[in-house]
Amino acid sequence: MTGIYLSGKTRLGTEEFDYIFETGPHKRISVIGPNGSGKTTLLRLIAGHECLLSGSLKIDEAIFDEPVSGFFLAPHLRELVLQHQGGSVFPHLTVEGNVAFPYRAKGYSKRNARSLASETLAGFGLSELKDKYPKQLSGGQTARVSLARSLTRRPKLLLLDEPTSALDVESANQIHQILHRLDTTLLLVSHDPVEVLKLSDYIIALERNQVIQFGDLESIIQQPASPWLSKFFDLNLISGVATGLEFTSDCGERLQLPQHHSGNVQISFPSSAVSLHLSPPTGSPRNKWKTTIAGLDRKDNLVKIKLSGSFDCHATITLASFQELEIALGNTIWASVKATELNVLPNTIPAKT
Amino acid sequence: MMRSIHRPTPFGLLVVAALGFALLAIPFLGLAQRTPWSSFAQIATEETVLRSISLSMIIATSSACICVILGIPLGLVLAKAKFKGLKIVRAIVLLPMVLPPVAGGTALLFALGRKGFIGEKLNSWFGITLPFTTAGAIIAATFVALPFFVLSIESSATELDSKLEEASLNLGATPTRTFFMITLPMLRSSILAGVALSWARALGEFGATITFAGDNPGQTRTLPLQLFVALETNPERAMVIGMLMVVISLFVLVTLRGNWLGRR
Amino acid sequence: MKLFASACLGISLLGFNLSCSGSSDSLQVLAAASLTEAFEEIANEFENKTGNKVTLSFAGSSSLAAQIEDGAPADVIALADEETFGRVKQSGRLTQHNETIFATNYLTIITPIGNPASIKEISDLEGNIVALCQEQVPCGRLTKEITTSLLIEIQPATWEPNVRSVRTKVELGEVDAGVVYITDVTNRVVSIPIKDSEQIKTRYPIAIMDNAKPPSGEFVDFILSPNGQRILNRHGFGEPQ
Repeated sequence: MTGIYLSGKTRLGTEEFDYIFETGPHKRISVIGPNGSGKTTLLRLIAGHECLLSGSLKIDEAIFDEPVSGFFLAPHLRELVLQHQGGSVFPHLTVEGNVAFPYRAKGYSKRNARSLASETLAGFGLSELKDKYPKQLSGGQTARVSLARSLTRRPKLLLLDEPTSALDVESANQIHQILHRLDTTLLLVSHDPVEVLKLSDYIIALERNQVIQFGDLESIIQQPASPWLSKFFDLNLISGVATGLEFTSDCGERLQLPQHHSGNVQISFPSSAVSLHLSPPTGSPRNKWKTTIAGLDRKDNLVKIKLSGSFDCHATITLASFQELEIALGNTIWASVKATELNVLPNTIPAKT
Repeated sequence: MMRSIHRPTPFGLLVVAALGFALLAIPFLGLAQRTPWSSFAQIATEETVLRSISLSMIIATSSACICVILGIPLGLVLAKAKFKGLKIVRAIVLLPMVLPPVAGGTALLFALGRKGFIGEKLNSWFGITLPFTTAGAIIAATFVALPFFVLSIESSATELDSKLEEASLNLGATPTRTFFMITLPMLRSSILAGVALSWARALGEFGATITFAGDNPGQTRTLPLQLFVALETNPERAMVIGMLMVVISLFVLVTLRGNWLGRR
Repeated sequence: MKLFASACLGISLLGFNLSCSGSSDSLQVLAAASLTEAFEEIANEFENKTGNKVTLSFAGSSSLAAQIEDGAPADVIALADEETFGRVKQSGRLTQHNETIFATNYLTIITPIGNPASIKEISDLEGNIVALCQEQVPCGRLTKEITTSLLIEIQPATWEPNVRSVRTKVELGEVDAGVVYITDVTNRVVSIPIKDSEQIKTRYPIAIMDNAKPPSGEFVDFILSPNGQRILNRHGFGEPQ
């Protein structure tokens, strides 16, 4: 268990970064945010490749970086590993040389380092590749070498910058399985919602070089603090104006809100909260609208349906109910969503939560 | 046989390229054509010539070694450091490449000569005098050769992926260990290219050597100085020595530089 | 880009043009390094008097001889000894033997100001840090002649390619002593006479090359005239004998 506490600012060139979050006892943390929102810089700060200008960084209560006291722990003394995007595998060393590197770094002889690394090599299925050089490896193999090397260091904290971004589905899956089994605390930067959902229980969300939200996964999915987050977790997002309990979308559709709001807002609701009906629904759901089926996407037992009409949104229903409805592309249909499922977001992004 | 796509080079470009090559190659053709090949072996193995060859080898090799020791850190600093005045530092480092070597030799005299502001201290404190000694000739050769080495290191150090060094630090290697285990091996090919260049430059050094280290047979009379003397007394010898230098330098440039750079 | 290319072309053409015109209308005089100041003054006066332009080129005599052998353009050549002049005669570019001795010179020891090694006579040069002329240049040959006659052997720290670089090394204090012509003595060095060296003189020949430009004869005549001789004399050269 490795708790990270960071509250501080830094600057790179003309860009300013302002981070504040703590991870508590969580061991599976994801850092998400749009491109250029400061995710990599956050990892580099924790790894000690950038330093704070103010504030402090603590890991397990120990100070790592605190400008006011002049304390800065050098990167090689931080018992953590930052695995760069692409893996940063050493091109002049063999697979074995790479995986054994952390032992060599500690001063072990070449032979001792290699015998110590042989178990890890076997565990990652790399024994047969041990004499190959990185340029002879596939992307998936390179990723495995990089991860194996990181773990030989036995870090308390593993920082991963998009470890699967360049991999095919199968290789990514392999990496996911390995990561899932790890006992180490993971801090993962990812662009892939599936990866985040699979591998993390805690989220740090960044936008414009600031932390806009942090907390456990469920609460972020339920109450995303920004449109980007809402979209990231595949939630429907509709812009409009709120007046009291009534919401009017930009194109005139009216929906009931769970709480009082006013002014420009966006509402979000999970695609799974949308129900579909062949005839206008009666009874409890007040929020209903007529729509056209614009797209169908089946994933396992679920069908994701793209709906267009007065506004675009997605609905996710089970295969069984899909077959019951007997609908096809272009059909006109009724959609409904409970007011209680609606999450109202102010249209401007708050600076911090 | 592998097939490869043939991209035609514009004909005009080839003509101009041939012209450029001719300008560089024709003088050596002239030298080869005038060289008295029948007495080549005899002159090349004369004792004075042999002495100059071995002296030249010693001086060029020592100078290349000093270039490696001083040039790698200097090249890395130029490539990585950011401070005010870096441009001026770089310009000073490269100055010996464009300066007439005689001017460099004179400057060396003023600094390290017996009455130079540092040389005077060297002499009175340690009894070391550099002019007219092999050590002086090595310094003169290093003075002109070092920029070639530094340039070679700097250009590849700027392209060096700093993430590899960061990865090494995170994997627990100290900065020093990172330098020896990651940075140096990554620079390998440019170090070898730099060694070849600076060695060849030191071998051909004349102006700074004769100005700073004088012409002292057995101490500072290298092949180029021998060539200079021979040119005025015995042109046949001069041609043989000139041809010897061409052959040695070509060999070094083709084997060291060609092989190790070509693989990149 | 176009502008740059045409500028390049223009400037390089100008460069070639200069190299052609430079040699065409002025008198090319090659002279031994020891003659530098004297010939500059002579050329100046000659130009003022006759209106002819003179281009002077100084180097060690053996360098000049090598240049002649290699076909360097020259109208008049003045060297520091007759032996080196023999090479000019053999070059095939001097078919009418018109050489004349126009000056003489002899050697002296010079030391840095203060004479740090306390040099008193030529035998003191043995074992000290000394600069001598390379033996193929006239001052080197003359030095050799003196040391052989006195049965001494000097191991110099450096063999300099011409007499002027010997003087520079002495002036800078890099060597304790050097042997140069009496005409090379300046107030930045101390001169210590070599006993009887005035008997071992070097004689300076001057000659007009084949196909020289017409004012060449005039130039040589001027050097041999009382005016020219007075200038040489003022710079320490002896009269031709």
